[in-house]
Amino acid sequence: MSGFGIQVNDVLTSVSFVLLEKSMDTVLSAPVAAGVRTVTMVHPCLYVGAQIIVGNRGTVTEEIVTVSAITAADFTATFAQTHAAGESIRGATVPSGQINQLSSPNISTAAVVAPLFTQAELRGYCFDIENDFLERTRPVYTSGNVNLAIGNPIASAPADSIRIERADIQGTALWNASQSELDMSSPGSLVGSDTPTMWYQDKTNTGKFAVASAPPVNLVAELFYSQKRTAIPALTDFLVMPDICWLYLKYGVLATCFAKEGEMRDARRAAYCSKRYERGVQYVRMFMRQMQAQMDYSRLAEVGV
Amino acid sequence: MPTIDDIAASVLQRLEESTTSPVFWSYAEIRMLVLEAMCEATLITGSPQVRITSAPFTLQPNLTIQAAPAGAFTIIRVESGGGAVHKVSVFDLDMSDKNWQNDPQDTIPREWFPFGCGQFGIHPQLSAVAQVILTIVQNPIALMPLAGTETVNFQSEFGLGFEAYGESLATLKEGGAEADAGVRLYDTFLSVMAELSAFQLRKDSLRFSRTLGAAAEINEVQKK
Repeated sequence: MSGFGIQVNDVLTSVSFVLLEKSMDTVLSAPVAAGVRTVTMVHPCLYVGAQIIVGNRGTVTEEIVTVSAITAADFTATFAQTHAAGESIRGATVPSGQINQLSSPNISTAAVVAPLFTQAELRGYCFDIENDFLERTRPVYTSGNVNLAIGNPIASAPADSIRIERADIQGTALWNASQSELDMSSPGSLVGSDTPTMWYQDKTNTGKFAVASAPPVNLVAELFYSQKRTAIPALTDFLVMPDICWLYLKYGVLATCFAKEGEMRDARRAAYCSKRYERGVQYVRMFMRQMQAQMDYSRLAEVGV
Repeated sequence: MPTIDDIAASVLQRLEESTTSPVFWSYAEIRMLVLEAMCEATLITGSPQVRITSAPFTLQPNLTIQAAPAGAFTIIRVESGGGAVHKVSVFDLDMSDKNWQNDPQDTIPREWFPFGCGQFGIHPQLSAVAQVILTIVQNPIALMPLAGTETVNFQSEFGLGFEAYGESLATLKEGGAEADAGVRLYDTFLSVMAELSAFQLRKDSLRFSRTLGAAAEINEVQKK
């Protein structure tokens, strides 16, 4: 965790406030042992299939459980952890249109429901919008090693890389070029036998990069790259984007929700939320540029690109 | 300094909502809007900038990339031995010597460079732990969840903007004319931020205008 610990559930809870969806934030009234357990609790956010977070934030017992059955007085779920009374139980379950304890209890099998939104759908929106934001602002970098096989100039970029910013081999920086430049300057460089001195990303297929010349022996390249999320986040996942930018994820998700076909469609609010998101992109670009917080390898490129 | 709940209560009053038993809005909801306002204020003005003298930061040996301390959004200054460590970029280092990562280790860093948010790099690597003083742009809160008792670490002039932001965005869930009217209050927040950003410009290069602070030219560091 970096920042101040915003979880995906926090973002979806804030989204739920605007969508007039109830969210859950209470505590267990009695201990719960690991295993399939029935918990005495009544809450409008509980329905079969709802994911909720049980356990205090940031502790080893914090887990996501899925409600498998409900009655008018309790719910059932499979717990991997043992929980004490007083531990947190929370979740943005977007219950509108779901059959919950209050509207129709005792339904524990697949029922015909018509939710406005689903949790999986909103988590998917989070994934798309966070990666769009990261791609457009590149506020987070990391380093990683990639194996270069003898005779093969092309290697796979890390799965969580948006863009490789820099490469080095054993601490010696490689010059960033393009294959076109190499073709013009030294046509034979792709099959040379010297230690690589350059790297490029064009014409190498999706998710690949290449070095020139081809490695004469097996080598390891260190990459500095801007980072993205690789899978749809769980409710307890922390953000990849800096926590301070979390509100733009919220407005990006809201823009998508208000643009969706259905009862909640609202073109004005969709446009407004979209603009808030776009402003966020501009704010972060401005901040990264003017505070010189970016890794700034592309200084020769146009400012802000 | 006020707490988040002090501002949240003011927002609820402006919404004509009860501050003791709110109905349509909750404290949990308004606290998150105050947090939003503080986050956006930080991004616009670069405040609060905090020099951490209470606990010197320990740099780890044998590492180029170092994790920033908890609470730091980004590092803006590093001091060692009573003087500033020279700030560069990876590009600067590569242009001056492409083998800089292999330079002999030292006991103190000679240069540091930004590595996005949450991390920074040093040159050369250290042979043993070393302590430095960091100046950071601080995150608006230390840790979630919000209790409401967190101190708002901005100077008091930000308060009006935070309240306007909270009221403006709270009306978003109402939709229709109420939301349209509320949205205009966001302009009040932006005006306050623009004023305080101009104030900030007297202190450093970060500036904001109603045209999103678009840089009119490349800055002094980039001109080098």
